[in-house]
Amino acid sequence: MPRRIVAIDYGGGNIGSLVGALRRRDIEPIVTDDRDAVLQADAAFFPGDGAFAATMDALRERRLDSAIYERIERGRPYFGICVGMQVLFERSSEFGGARGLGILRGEVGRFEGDVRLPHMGWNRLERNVEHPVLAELGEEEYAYFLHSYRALPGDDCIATATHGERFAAVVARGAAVGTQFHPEKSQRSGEKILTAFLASLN
Amino acid sequence: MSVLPRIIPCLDIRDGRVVKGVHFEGLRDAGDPVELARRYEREGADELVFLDITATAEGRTASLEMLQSIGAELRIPFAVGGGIESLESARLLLRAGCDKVSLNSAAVRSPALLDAIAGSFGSQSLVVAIDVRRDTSGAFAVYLDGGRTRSGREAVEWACEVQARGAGELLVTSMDRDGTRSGFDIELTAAIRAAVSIPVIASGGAGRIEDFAALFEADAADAALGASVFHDRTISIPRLKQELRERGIMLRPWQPTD
Repeated sequence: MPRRIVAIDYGGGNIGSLVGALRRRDIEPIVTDDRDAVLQADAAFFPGDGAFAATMDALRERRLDSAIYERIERGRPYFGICVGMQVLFERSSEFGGARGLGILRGEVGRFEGDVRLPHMGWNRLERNVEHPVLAELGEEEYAYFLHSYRALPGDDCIATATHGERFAAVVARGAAVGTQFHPEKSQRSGEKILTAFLASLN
Repeated sequence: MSVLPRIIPCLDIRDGRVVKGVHFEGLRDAGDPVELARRYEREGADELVFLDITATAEGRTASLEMLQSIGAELRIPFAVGGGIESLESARLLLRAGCDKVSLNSAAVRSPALLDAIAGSFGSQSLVVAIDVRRDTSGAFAVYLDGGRTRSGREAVEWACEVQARGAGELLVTSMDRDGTRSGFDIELTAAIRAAVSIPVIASGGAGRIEDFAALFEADAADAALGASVFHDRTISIPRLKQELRERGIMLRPWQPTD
């Protein structure tokens, strides 16, 4: 049976690259902001971009915040990219602060130390836990990052990267995965992660 | 480990074709944008820049249709510039699949547009391109309209202002070096980079692998941009990356299977 894959989109962000990446795998995602579609899908992708607070507001307006929460609590697959990963945490300090979904413990904050921001470009992934979504990665893999806020590595962090300080590059909880980087922009390394996630749906 | 220096081929677009010229003039055809973009991705380019060089004069932006097909196909990020004069045109380009929009003339003419774009889409999506020519006293003068109009702004001071207005990256082109293949203007990009805390892309003057090495060894830029040296294969990107790595400059490794 064909899998129903949704890409959560409410008209703001760059959805084309993710849709393109899925189509190269013969998956035609349903691009939607409909709560029921998100709840019922076999897997939901959320390539969030822009500000954390604005993203949370947009999710709440459509009651997608509770839909994502419910999916993850029931162990249903979710893949959050960039801000789509950050919203899983308790809160972010960006622009005065906002509450997140609180599925993962910890707060998203601005990079500390003497580093150039935004953290923009390719950085090496450091795996710290074996996890199926990382199964296809080799020893030396690089991913494309584009952000100024980050979560520090906590219990659910399975890979890190370093920009002045170590931060969470990939998080996982049950069937939910989040990447701070953009797998759809990370060439072969990104494809390996998307492939592993999609394989886990079978 | 930290974020790696990037190699960025730049595709100047006119009438849907890639063109190249010297000192912003005397343009020659260099191929199909989508085909060239694919080739650069295969060869290990870290990011791409598309500049529609007649868009501003013609009061439009790059073709959304072209960008959509590039966005759906490319597995590396790209920025687009040319003719972005409103929040709405920036929105359409980002929506079409561009990761960043690059503003030049419009940034000088209406700086508040930078605040608006950064406020709506985030600093990470906003590049400001600064075209610089040294004046007779050696000062870094900022030019507009593809190098035709002198803005009256000084480059370092302008760079600080655009950072304060939310720019997330600077694309600094030395017009004196552009198309000459005589090396990057390291003094220029280093002066700007020292004054700001956002990443800086050096552009203009790439001719030999040595030029890239000198730029990164001086820690004068976060990324290096080249156009004709890549289009006509004077420098192959795999070889460039390999030689720089051998010299101790860490770049994202290129693999034939990528």
